[in-house]
Amino acid sequence: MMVGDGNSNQAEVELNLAPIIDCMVVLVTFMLISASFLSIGILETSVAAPGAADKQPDYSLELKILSNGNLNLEITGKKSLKRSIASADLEKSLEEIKATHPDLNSGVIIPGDEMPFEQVIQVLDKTKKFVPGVSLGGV
Amino acid sequence: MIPAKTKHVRKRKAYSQNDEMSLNITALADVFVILLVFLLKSYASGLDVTPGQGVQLANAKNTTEGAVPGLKIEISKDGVYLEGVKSVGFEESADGKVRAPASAVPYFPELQKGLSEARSKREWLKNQGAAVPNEKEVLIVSDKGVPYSVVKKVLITATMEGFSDAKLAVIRE
Repeated sequence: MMVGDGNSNQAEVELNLAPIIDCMVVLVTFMLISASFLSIGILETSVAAPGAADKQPDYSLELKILSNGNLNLEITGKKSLKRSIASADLEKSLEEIKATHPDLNSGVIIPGDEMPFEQVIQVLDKTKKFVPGVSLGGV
Repeated sequence: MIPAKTKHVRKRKAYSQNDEMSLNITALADVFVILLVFLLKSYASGLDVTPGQGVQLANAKNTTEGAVPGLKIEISKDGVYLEGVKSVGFEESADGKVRAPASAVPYFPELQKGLSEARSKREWLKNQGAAVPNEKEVLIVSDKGVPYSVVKKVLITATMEGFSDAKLAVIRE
């Protein structure tokens, strides 16, 4: 017992960390190489199906995307409205409509079949800001 | 008699021979552990949302940071992949546009079969008492150049199999 105590006082035990560091360097390098630094978000939507809604809302928006990028906007319900708008003016028009139709929370976007998905996403993104319950149609 | 300067040099030499100089790497190990934990945590998001090779996502601002659904459908310029397995192959058109194979039905029967199997697997897991994510949710990772007709067909197929809540993967602006 005494001999052991004397021994530990004299020699210091040192853990060799070099192999652990080596492993970590390899792991961290591998992870940094394979990591994706793009910030991917989720855009929620649903498919508009006829008769899917349980209760008919007061207003409903229909946004038809034309092949030239312009849009035909139609609101059905109590205060019906029809308007043709340029793609650049979509946000401005929706803001105006939201002011006169505050309960407008549902709608459908109808893109053309040949329309690139990017264009559909742009319209969906802008519309969702003002009409959260908008869904994709054309079915 | 040895001069004072030579005496000092001799003393230093003797010291370096007896004691090995060691670098303290404990702090370095700590930094690596933190880095490793951070990277592992960012990896542990459940499903891999990263698009496949050649798939370019569209940009959007009004995105959400909700939980990613457990089922992933990827639409690239060469086909539709369900959980990384090719379900539908696209035809190459002369104008370079993506064309889905001509079909009499407005959905992809092969994809429907795959989704049906995925749904059955989920139901079995649920019956076994396993935690199953939202049964109606599906993640759609689509290339931005794909025509809407293809995405529409995928959406119709998913809705037919009960996956009506589509979550579209986009690049956050």
